[in-house]
Amino acid sequence: VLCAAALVVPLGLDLHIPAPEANPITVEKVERGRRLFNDRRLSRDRTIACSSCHDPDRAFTDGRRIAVGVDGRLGRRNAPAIINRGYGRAFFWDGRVRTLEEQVAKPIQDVDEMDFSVAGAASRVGMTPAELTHALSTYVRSILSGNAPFDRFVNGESAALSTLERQGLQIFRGGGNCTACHVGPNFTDEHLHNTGVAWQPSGSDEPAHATPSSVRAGYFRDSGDGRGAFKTPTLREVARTAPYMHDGSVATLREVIDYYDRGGNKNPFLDSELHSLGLTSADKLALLAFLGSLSGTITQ
Amino acid sequence: MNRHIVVLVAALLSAGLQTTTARQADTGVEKLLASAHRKATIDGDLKGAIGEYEKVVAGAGQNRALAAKALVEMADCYQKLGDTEARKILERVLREYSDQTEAAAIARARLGTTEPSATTRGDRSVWSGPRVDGFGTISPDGRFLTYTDWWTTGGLVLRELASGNERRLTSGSYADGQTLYSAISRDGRQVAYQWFRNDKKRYELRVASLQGTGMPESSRVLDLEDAEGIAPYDWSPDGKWLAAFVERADRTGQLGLVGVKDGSLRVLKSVDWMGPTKIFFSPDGQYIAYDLSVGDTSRERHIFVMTVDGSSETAVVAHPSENVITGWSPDGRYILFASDRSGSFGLWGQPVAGGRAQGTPKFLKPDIGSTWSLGLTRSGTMYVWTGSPTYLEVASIDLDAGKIAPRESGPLQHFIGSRGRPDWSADGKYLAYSSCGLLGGGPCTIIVRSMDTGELRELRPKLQYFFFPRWAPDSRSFVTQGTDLKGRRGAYRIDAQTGEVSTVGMPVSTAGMPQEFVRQWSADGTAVYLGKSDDQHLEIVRHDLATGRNDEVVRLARRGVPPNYVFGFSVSPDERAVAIVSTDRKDPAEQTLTVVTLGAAESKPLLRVTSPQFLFGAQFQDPAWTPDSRALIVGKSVAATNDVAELWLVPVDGSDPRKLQFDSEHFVAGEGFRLSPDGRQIAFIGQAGAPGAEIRALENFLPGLAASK
Repeated sequence: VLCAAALVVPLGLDLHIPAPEANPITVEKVERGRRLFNDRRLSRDRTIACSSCHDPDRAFTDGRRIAVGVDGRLGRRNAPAIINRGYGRAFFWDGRVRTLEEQVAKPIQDVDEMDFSVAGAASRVGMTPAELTHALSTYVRSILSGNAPFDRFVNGESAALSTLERQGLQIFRGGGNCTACHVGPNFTDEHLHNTGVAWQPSGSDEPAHATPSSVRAGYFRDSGDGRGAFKTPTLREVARTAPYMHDGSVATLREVIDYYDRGGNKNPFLDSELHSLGLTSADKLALLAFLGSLSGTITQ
Repeated sequence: MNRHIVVLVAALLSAGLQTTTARQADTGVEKLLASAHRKATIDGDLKGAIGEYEKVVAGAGQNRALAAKALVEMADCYQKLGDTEARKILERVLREYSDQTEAAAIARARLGTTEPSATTRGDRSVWSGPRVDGFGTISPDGRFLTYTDWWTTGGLVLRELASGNERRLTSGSYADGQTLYSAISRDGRQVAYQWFRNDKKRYELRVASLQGTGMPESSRVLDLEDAEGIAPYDWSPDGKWLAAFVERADRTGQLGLVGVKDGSLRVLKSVDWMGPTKIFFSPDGQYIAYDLSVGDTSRERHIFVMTVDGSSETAVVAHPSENVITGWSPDGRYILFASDRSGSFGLWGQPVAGGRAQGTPKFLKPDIGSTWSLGLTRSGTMYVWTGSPTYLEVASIDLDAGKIAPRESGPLQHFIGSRGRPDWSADGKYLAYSSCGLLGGGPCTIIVRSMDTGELRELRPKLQYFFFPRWAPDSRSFVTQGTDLKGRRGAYRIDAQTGEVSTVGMPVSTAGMPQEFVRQWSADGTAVYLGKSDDQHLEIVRHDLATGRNDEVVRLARRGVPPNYVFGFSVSPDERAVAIVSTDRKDPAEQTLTVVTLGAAESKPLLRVTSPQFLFGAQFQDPAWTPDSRALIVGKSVAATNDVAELWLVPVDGSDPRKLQFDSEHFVAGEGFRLSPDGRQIAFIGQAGAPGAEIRALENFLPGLAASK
């Protein structure tokens, strides 16, 4: 564990956490952001806080398939694990936002989430909108997961991974082709990929609005970036963040592995990295064990 | 509609159209400038580039920055051609474009140094020859240099530059391991080096004392099972930390600091596979500076400064050109870097304070001919590694007379940077060759040259690196062994028109070198030949591209400890025989060219050499068959100057091999040679200067900083 300026960075992560010049990381801002993160006043009806969907006890997810906002409104997507986002380069499942400062404002404004305004929320807590977004984004930068068995292994502690986990690591980097997208210390390339999760073959339930991404063979239930692509999520703490995928449609990690083993759902924009893998049951067990080794210590 | 509104709308529309048209014109001229730049710096076609620069100046219109830049680069071309027009153009820049500060600064500096001279003022060569290597650093007093001895043991050597005396710093041979990068500490008392352990098949980081004489004791500082490489680039001034680049197994690169005493690793920043060229500590030890590429297949690099605690990072040089860090000025006030922004690589200094850029960079020295710094001495002399310029040559070959005659008109094309690995299309109409940047590390491009028109096409395959692209028999694609942008090594097909990359149906490897290595096409283009190896056997296999079926062609048992290995092979045009260059690692090592007749289990040794001579037969230099499959041409090193080779014609019928009459002094055997399909021409890479490379000391550039302040 090392200290980089105001933050304690666990083993396995970069000491340098990018932050804009206008919003440097300070201890005071982290603390202020932490309080705001748990403050229900940021939502229109004072019922929802950021932590309602990003529960620290659930690795900053909510365990639900789809996030629930004010008045019990169902959102569109699964609440992602907002850990190690300080290293991120694209935010939200569709990667539409490029900075954390911009990102933290969106759920406050989203009618299906907190249904309020940044100015209104800031006023309630006695801050300017910039102070609010700066504090929240700084706190999100402080949410770090590392020092997992995997981190200890790659930093020289050979016994930190069991034999099975090491086999899983080999599959992760080899036949599983997982590192095609889940790469680097944070296990994400921060890019968007069409894995076919949102693809729905043509059928009677095809909605009239399923354009422009729809083609004759089917349509996207959620078009993501427009071509059914969604951002690669981190795999840090992945054993604790079920259900999976942008729509929470896959209940267990084992099912996620099965999904990728069969090459995803074929569609016109399927990422070229997806193809059937031919993993054995033993391979899948090993892979599952390895993914478990990515759970470590969450500091915030 | 109100008339005024109509007029206003019309005016706005017109203005918009004008703006759009101007933008389009700018884009067109910018593309032309990029094309001219490529011609000048990559293709070496200086006259062609001058023609395009003239068009850029004529078409630049109000874009004065573009015109000034084109003029400066045009002057650079004239200067390389030894034409006095260079001076006139630079004077024009000062006269007409004095408002363009960067171009004017370059012009001003060049006008002081445009004398026709191979080296610029204050430069001196301190070591040259085939053994020169650039993986080490200079000692702070400038007396010593560390380097890797590639030619004999693969070990680390300390060389005293004045006397040429050398001291080995590691024992053993290639069988034990080898060094790669090394760095001398700021007090000159220790060296850190990267050591590849053959028994563990991975690199570790070691430190040895430079005190005393004889073989020093060394200690292991860091050994990471999960790292593919750990390169030490610099020592902190207090000697407690090493700035290092760690290559992880998933191809992530990490810039970090390694504690010399406890081997602790502080990862400061994770980056993509390309990583920094070098990392340098600031003289006060508070910062590190490094360069990073802006994209996977781009040569554009920017320079960054980071505090050693990782708390902040600042881009100090972010110019759309290749900017490569070369060090800090001894007073810490300038970050020094090589940049090709002026048309060729010059030395620049970016003023910095508190880890941030202060003002614009200063142009310090034109044409340093290198981007590879071995560091600076305390007095501010910078040492750089430079390779000799190379050229592509196509010579006539008379196999009956045993003569090779270079073209009277001279080389086909001169190069700047690493070039080589030529290959002919099956109809002999095109010659393709590869370029992997000034240092050869990639990203690599393929240049396709029409032998009829001289037209050049550049392909930029999305591969980190590739070896020897071989034309398919239908000339529509290449096959090569390579590594994709995600670090997967294997056989790839490259579309000869678009550069699109695809696999050839063979598995790719994400960890370590694959056991299969693709070498060439079958004559009908339905299969590729590849080499496979394991601990016991070496196999040559014919891989059917449609069915994925592998048919064994030759299987050899590996012998000895460590076992012998096949260096290279080439299947004959009639596909009835395969020529193999193999090595027996006995002492002295022995290399043999053998021909195996397929289907008859008959093998015939044709040529044998013993160390220190060797046969060129690795990936780039497979023996070349004559079109009638009756003989081979193979490169053989000339003893004591291993980079220079002779070419020998070796008949398959067992009659005596003949040395081809060929002025081989400048022939770079390591970059391959290929016979044209009709057997009447041979394409090869030549070296314009002395064989090997050179270490040069760049002096007296720092006073220029004071003058320019």
